[in-house]
Amino acid sequence: MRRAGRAAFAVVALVAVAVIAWHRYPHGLSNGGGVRDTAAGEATTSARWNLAGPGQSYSYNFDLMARVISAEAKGEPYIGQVAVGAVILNRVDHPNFPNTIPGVIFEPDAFTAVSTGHIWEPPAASSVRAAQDALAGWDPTGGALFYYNPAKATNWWVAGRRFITQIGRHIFLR
Amino acid sequence: MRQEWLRFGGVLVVALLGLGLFREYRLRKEVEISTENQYQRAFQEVVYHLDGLEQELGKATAAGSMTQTAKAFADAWRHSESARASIGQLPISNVPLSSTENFLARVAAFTYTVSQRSPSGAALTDREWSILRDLHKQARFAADELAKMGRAFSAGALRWTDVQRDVAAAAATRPDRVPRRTPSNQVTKSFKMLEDGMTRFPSPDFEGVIPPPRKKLPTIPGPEIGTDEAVRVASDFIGPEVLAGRSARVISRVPSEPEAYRVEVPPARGRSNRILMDISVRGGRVLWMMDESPIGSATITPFTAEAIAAEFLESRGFSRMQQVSRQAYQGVAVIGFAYEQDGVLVYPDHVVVRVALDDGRVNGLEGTNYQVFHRLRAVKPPRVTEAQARTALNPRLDVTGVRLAIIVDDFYKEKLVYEFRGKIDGETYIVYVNADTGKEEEVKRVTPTGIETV
Repeated sequence: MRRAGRAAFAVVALVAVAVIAWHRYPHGLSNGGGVRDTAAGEATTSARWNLAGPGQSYSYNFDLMARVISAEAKGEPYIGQVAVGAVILNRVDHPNFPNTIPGVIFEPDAFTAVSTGHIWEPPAASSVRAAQDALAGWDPTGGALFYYNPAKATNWWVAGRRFITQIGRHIFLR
Repeated sequence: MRQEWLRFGGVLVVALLGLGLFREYRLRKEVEISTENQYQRAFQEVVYHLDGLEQELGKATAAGSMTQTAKAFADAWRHSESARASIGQLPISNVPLSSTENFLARVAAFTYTVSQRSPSGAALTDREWSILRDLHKQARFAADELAKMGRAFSAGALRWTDVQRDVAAAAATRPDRVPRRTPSNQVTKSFKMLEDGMTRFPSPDFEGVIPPPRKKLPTIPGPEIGTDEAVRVASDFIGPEVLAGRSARVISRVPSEPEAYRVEVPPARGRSNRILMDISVRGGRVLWMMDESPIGSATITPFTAEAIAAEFLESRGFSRMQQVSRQAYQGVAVIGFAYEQDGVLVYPDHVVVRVALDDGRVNGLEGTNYQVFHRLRAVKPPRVTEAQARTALNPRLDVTGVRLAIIVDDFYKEKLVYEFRGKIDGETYIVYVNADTGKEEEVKRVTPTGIETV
């Protein structure tokens, strides 16, 4: 009888754990709250660098850029990270894209890391510098508006776009 | 007894599972509704702003005075920018909307530029009015299409979250395999129709009326160089000390503006100190350089870095450079310089140097602006005296310094200005007063690290 009781308890406990785990599924609301907390924490740290010069109007967005760079190009060579930042800024300047950094970044389906939520992981230190370098004027992409990783993406949309250069695993196009 | 326990356990399991499922369902529903509402809002705002844009442009065609034209244009500008922002939020990445977006960007540039004119000034020229009429026709078409869409979507009880799911699924499959009957179909078709219609309108000639949408940089003088010459220029620039036995090589020809050879200095064995740089094909100039070496903890101050950067520029043939900005972040100092000619600071000839604060090495340079704009200019003496220029300033500005400078406007036209540096409420500002007309051209805010440059 005691064994049966323990078995029933075990089953109940297992189900409870499963239900709780299920609720932490990335699309759950509970996770969204955590996301905002991290973002606020990062913003305070970055406030010190807000003073950082040219293009001061961008200063509140470089943290966001750093997150996209980190999530999209963490394993890439450093210049490949700057390149992702440059593409974001090239889009901001281009009439066919939204004219703010958040507008470009949150355009639906524009960046895989935004769709998957990976941008809400803390950015790598190198990506923070890469975002700043891109804002300071470096553009290793030669004015690219698109990039993709040919090993990962099914990119039939690439057709008709002009190849500019390859950096690391990313191909940059205009 | 045992059976009872089992039954109890079973009922509990089912109840908990049911509860869990129900909560999950409710949660998902909530998230979906809030997403749906955001998409609906974005779409409805596109409809609203296009309608507003059409009305304001229409009013402007009828307005006789610059005051009324400017009023209508200020509203048209707001509507076009807001429409652009809202379109960018719709989950329709499968439909290219370049003509529609281009139209909105142009309307925004046109209405903004004109509304900046003095309200007491002359009304629109014939050419501007005919541009306005063309834009108005196009706006009417777009507004009509969007209003139609609004009615159709609402009648069909269209859900944007379904559209989003479809578009995401379609992006993962080949275009020819996309199933025909999907909720996104109606949306895709309608937006394609809008875009096709927008493409058919002839684009008015904006030359000289609005700032060029893309930088049109002057070409660098000089003949085309070969790859050997590019390698030589790059090696000289990097210097034997940093090369340390490595040899530079051209890895590609980049169709950037200006066109460039991409030169790579591969990393030394076991290190990640690769260097990349672009050398212009025409003229063989260094456009930018970046060293990927990791950066350790700082041993020098940004002030030492400034001296290192200035010395570096001098040694690489950038002479008479004045420091105009500085910033430090993540172990590097990034210092901006502008060329000085006859006591006049030439902002378009602008170079940025990056110094590693761990060992004081220059590990980056961005000189595209300098290389395309730099030339010996014939600087004419100012027509307006400094005292006359001062009268254009806000009398509350506490002026701390003045010098002559050349700046470029949105049309890439160079202007000779007096650069007044002054303080208000503890903040430093730079005010440019045109040295030929005495008009106040621009106000810039100075941060503790430098000023915003071109």
